[in-house]
Amino acid sequence: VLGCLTGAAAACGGINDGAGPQANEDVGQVEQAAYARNFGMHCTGSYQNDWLPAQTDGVQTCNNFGNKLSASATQKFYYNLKSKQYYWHDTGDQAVNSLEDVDLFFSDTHGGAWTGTYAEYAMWDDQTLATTNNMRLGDEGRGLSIFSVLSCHTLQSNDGAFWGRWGKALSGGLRATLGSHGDVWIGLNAPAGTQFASLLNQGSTIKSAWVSAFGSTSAANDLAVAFTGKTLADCQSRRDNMTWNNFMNYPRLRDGAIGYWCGWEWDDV
Amino acid sequence: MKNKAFLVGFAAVAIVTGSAFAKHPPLFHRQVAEKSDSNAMGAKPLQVLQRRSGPGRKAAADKLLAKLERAGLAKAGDERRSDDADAHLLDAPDWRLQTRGTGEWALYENLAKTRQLNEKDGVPPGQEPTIDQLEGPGRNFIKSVLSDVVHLGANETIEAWSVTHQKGVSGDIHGGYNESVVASKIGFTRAINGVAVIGSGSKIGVTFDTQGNVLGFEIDWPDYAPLVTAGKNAAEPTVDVGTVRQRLKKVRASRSFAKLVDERPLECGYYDAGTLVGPSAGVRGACQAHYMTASADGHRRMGFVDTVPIGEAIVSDSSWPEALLLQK
Repeated sequence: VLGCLTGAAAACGGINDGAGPQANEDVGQVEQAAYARNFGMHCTGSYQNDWLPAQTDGVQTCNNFGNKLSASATQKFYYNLKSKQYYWHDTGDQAVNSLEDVDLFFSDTHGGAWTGTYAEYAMWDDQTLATTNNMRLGDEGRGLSIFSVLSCHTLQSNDGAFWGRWGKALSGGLRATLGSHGDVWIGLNAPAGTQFASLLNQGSTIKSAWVSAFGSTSAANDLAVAFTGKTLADCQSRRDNMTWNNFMNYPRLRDGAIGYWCGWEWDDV
Repeated sequence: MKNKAFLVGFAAVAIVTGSAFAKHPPLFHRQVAEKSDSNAMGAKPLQVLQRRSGPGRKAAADKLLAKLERAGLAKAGDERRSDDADAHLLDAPDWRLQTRGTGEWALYENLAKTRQLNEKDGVPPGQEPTIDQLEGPGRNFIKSVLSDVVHLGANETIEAWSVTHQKGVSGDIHGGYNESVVASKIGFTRAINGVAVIGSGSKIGVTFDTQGNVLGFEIDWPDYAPLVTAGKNAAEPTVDVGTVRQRLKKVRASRSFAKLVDERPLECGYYDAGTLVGPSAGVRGACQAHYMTASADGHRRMGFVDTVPIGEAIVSDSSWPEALLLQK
């Protein structure tokens, strides 16, 4: 579907407002072995009117990731980042071939966390951002479980504002969010896309796969993961044991069921 | 303080004073950066090298497993083995080991110990182990466990290159924030006649918890041989620092960014992009520039790493995007 990377979403024949399957609500009881996983990607190499610098290794990172993860899951969609804000936000995330239609979503774009109320992700469209205070993931359609987006700063926590930024996005039952609390360097990440998928396929924990892969470049990326839990111990258990093979065995936590968030951060890894 | 355990366990002596890598990389890394920034490789010729095939994924895994078992970090027979297109995987309840490439790349995780990692056993940021505390244990580990796969050729040395830390963070959703450093990784690179290898190749990382237990390692450590062209060892004349900067400027011009906010000193040496990148046209001289940019409003930071070849003739290497760009 590589042609979709430079074409409009409509030309890729996918995204519309249709409802996704209403399955797996009682996800805590689902046997993962019987569960056919899927994933989707939004990736770009450049931005409209060069409003942000080209993501020179962005497309190749996604190509590599998608090719490898396809060994364990179905690639449901692979689009560019043009006109996608609607599908990242709660407005359209439930659409067919959108974020709530897959178990794992992967992207690679510029990001930031300069306010205490949201983290932001750059879309292809000039001056357009998807923001976490407009997201609620994991509560519609199939329900997203793992939101993995290689972006600077989006999981920043040392200012004490993590939950202020992520509370809404995580309260829909999203199981894991992967990103960075600091800087991600552009240029060397493409092989890590393969490695991230390979480690997920092999049963590595999600946190280990993320840091082993995107920490394997010589660029010294800052990498982070974050999870939720009823208690701190529950959160830590999810953070340290959840894998691509068992994530469905962890019941979704929504709204008042969440007591804690927790994560790991690796500096200059 | 918790850090005491590490101090006692490894007889280290340095006083713990703060975060390491970005501000204070190891001495060798600082020296490479200082020299590179002023002089690149001094326009001296560099012998072009090639990666030699390793012992094979399974043979390398067997060698590592024998040493890991001796060190009490794995038990042979506990593992399930499997292969995919890229890797040989040993998967045991308490540890995992995989090898890639032709056996020169390996990743080991001590699952029994990493499962026990907990913020309550960490140290506050600012009290992380220092380079001095980590380098000795790292070298001891290489000597005792990795020596069958980490070989050194003539005039090659292992040099400390980086220190990174893993921090646990958490909070009650109604407020409160906790953070503590639970693990640290010492990274090493290879120097050949004093010339550092930059890139992902020729790297070793060993991760310790705050008590000094080994949590894991990763290596990408091929043996090198001279690249022979037309029956002769290929020695490549390199360009001066001015020409290097012109090449970097051309690459940088292809990135459109609003403002430059920070720039690290150049790092020059042999460039080995690493096993995961795949075959290359040789391990040869290069300079790497790290620079941080920001959007016009300053709200988004975007870092770039540009690696340019420094041979007089720009190498034709399809796995090297900057070389391709410079040839246009």
